[in-house]
Amino acid sequence: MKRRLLALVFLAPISAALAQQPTFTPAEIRKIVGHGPWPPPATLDAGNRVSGKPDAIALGEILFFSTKLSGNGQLACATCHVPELGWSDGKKTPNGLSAVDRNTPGLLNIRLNRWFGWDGGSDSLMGSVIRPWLDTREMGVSPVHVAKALREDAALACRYRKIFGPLESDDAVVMANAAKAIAAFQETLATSRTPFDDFRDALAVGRADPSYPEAAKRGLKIFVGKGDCQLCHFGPAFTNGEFHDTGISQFIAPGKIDNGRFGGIKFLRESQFNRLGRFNDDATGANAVATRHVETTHRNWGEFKVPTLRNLEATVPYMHNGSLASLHDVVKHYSEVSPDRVHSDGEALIRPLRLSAQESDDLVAFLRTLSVAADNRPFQKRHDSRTCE
Amino acid sequence: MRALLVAGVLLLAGTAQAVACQMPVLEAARTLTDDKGFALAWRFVPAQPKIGEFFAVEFAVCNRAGSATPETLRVDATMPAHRHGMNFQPKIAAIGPNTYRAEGMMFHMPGKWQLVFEQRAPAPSVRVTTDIEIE
Ligand code: HEC
Ligand code: HEC
Repeated sequence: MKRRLLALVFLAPISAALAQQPTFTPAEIRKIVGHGPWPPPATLDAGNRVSGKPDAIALGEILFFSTKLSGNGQLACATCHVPELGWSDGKKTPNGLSAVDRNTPGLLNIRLNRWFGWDGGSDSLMGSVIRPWLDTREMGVSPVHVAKALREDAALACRYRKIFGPLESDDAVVMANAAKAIAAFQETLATSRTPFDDFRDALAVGRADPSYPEAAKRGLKIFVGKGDCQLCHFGPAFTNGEFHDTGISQFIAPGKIDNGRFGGIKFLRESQFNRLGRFNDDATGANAVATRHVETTHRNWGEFKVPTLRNLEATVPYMHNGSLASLHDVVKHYSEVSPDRVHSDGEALIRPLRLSAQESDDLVAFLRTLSVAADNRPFQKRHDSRTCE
Repeated sequence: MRALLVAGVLLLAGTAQAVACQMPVLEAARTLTDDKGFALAWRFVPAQPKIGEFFAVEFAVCNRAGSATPETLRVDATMPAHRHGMNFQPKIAAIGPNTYRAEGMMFHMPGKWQLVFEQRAPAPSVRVTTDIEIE
């Protein structure tokens, strides 16, 4: 009797804690399970005939870290895409040859994207390599410059020949091939499994995962519930891969506006490097379906790509203009955003969530479980730019 | 995905129109009609579209057989609650007598979508819709 009483006394606080533990409804569980499995299956890019080829990945790695393919000979892709920072740069907006007005995105899991750039101005990883080359604010080089740099460097030319055959006289072809090698390298950049993935897998088979923090569970419940985050941050990579207006300012400077997706579609259409062009290696054209069917609408004005939410710990600051300095600031934005900030024919989805301090902390705690520190170790280069293995 | 046809959508089979209607055969198709008698049969290809993946809609125009061409038809999908449609413009092609395929459609978000079929000519323009829950 006495012992039983004692047990009750001890159990009381525990059961109170249990009562606060979030439980998930079957509908919530379906949504959460939809954020996996992780990692997603490996696939090759049909538009890039050297996708997955070790020689191409090696050349791509070398070129990614090389400063030879920049107008001033000082900029590499890695200048802005720093491995330890999730392949972003920690800056609000970077400086290339001159100031760039968008934030540098991280590159981990980049292969899972349908569109590249905050405005989706490229429809392939190859295109998103060529874009900073040709952009006079970023690296500012021409096809002539890229082709010449490859021809004149014996080791690079030798590596190129082993993958693509003799260097073509058409500089645009050489440039596209070099971009395909860098694309093949970038396809290898991926994040590991996270605490969230373990929790998700356990939930999928009805098992508990006691190691997953309670605060993160509460935050997850908001994420798939009243926060409606999951509508746009959908699926294993936490993005539907498309474009929305979340009320982040479009102003670059007074009177100067970033028109986002609207300009992105126009850029894509005009580019000779899009998937409708001659550099797409998919002869069936099946991989160009998105490019064939995309159309501008007025709504695209001020829309930006939904970013992945994996590995955010390393990619501060946030948003297309780098205007939010922490995850707390992002959650505050969604909590307080004025619907007036969203473009008039924007979607009726962004509204102030008015989260309590506790709920905001919980949402941040959840977002943190989508990162693991090990993904941001210094990158060990595997290939020597002076040799042709 | 669970597809729910809203109440109010009449199944052609068993109605008076069905008798007169020379519906080209589309296997596993669902039928739709409006109160003015615009009738069609349609199906998703693949049968269960996934969020973020392209699908097509195949459909047969029934009561106005012979009067439709790909140019007079429109297929679209919208999210009424979010006030937006798809991010892609489907293209319609004839695939058989009175049968068409709208290619290049994508549901890019979970939630309630409305599928819209329209024939704009000859006048009057006619239109049927059906609600679909995508998750
Ligand atoms: C001056 C800094 C800078 C340099 C150098 C640079 N980038 Fe970027 N990168 C950016 C910025 C900023 C964006 C976003 C561009 C936009 O949305 O308009 C970006 C976007 C990208 C994207 C698309 C990411 C996404 O999430 O959609 C890829 C891929 C990429 N860069 C790869 C490269 C490669 C490869 C190189 C070298 C050839 C390179 N970048 C050089 C700053 C840079
Ligand atoms: C309507 C679609 C939509 C909804 C709903 C939405 N987001 Fe976003 N999210 C976006 C878009 C688009 C961006 C990029 C906006 C920009 O840069 O202008 C973004 C950016 C972010 C970022 C910054 C990531 C980075 O790398 O810069 C975080 C974090 C984030 N969202 C979390 C959330 C959370 C948490 C919720 C729910 C409270 C949420 N989002 C709801 C579309 C959405």
